[in-house]
Amino acid sequence: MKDLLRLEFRKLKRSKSFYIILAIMLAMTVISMITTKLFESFADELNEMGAEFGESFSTAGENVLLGFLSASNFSLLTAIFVSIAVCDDYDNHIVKNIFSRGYSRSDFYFAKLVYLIVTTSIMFVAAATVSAILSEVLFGINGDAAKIAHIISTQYLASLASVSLFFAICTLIKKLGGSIAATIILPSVIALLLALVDEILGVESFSIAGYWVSSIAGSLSTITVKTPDIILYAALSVVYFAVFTVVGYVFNERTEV
Amino acid sequence: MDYIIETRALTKKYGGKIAVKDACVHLRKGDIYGLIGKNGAGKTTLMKLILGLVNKNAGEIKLFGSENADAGRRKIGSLIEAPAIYKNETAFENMKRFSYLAPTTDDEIKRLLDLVGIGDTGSKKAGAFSLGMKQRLGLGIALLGSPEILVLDEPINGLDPAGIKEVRDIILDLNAKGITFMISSHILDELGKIATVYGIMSNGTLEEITAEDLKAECRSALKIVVDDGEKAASVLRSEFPSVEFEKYGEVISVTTQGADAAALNRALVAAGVSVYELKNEGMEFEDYFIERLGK
Repeated sequence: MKDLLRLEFRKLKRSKSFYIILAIMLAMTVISMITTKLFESFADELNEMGAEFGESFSTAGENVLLGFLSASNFSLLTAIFVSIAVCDDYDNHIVKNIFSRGYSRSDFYFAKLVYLIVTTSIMFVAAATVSAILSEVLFGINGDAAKIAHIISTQYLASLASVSLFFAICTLIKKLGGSIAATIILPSVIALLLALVDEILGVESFSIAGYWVSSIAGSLSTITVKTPDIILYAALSVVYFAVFTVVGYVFNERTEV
Repeated sequence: MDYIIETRALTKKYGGKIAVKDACVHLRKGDIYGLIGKNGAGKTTLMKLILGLVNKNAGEIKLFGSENADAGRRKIGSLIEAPAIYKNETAFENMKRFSYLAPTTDDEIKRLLDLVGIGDTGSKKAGAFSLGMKQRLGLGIALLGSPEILVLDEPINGLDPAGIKEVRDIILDLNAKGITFMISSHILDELGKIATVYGIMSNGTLEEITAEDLKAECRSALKIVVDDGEKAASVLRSEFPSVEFEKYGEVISVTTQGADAAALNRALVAAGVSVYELKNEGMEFEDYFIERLGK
């Protein structure tokens, strides 16, 4: 697996998609922050308009910071990045050279997973750092620093869970176009289906859709989230990561090239 | 007999279709194994099974005498279907990248690029290579790490006649240095020049024959056209009892290899038999394979 890790990380130096997507992510974070600052004076009106949809417009620095995953379009951009990083090996038949040299499918899978975790972690840290700096400069960050750190850590776990889901989808589909479409659309489709289930069940105090992986990031985008919920979201993120990793592993073991 | 690639009853199905059925491959060290078959016969699938690119439904694969096939595959280089290359990188960069899988020094990479004839491509990206150049790069990648076996699927695809000769010379040179080959090709003529054993695939089934046995199967016969077939047969039976022949009217077909044509002619003429035609006729390799592939 060591050889495969070296192969993967050598790619990073020349990976245009990584640098482009990282640049876009940071640019969108900056644009979003500046836009929020510009709209600060209209905050009350926007909150009135958004209340009907359950959305709030907050210029509290800590909330702006915690909203960075949405501001940076982190989920969308990592879906695209993971699709490119995984499907490139299939589209160019590189996996043939890997498997035919006696490297096991599981070594290939976990080397790729490590690569994806490291690269998306870099993106996460970069986006969070830029967001933290701009939030402090433009709005000033108040609130419990430890709680902010806990929330961001849980957001990180949730993002890893999303990455493992995207990886599993790409391992199944193996084609770039289809993978990009599926990684963007499928989580939303599942969220809609779960919302439908919630509607059918009609339990007001509990929402299954709220615990789906793509909903967790949204739930963690404000300082007002309760500590028990943070812990629950963290645990769910770890479970999702494990489940999607196993599912992707199974798809990978059956891969034929 | 120790085989470095040995399979037993190897089977692969895709849905209801059997792509490879009970294939038994026996590849000895130093062989050049020519895998021949029509399109869709199962040649590529068989190679993929050996290389672990597809999962078998039944059977066994032993590489270098061991059932731990992954360990054996570390000593195998391959070029299956389209060459697997990074299109945005040069030939050297491609080789360098893949050398992580099969450790090779930079000097050796340069030597291999020269060996396969693309040592002078410089900064040209592999995506801009012609098909022949991509094939050569694929061959170079297969040679990384000094493999003991090379499995090549249609290695001369896209090559011009000079390129075909170059690849043939490379194969023979490497074989002389101890590398064993399994090569599939549609071009019987080319395989006929180098193969030491043949695997003939037809509808997923494999039949093996050595080059020596193939030569015997395609052996020539001495055809003698005479004016009196009965008299000629009588002369041959009495004067050449060890010579085997068949009589078809006025045509005598002598099947004993190395029969002295001049002596036979003298004996027939001396006995008053007129000889109108005397020539060697044999089955071409192509005819043999077409006959086998058609079954």
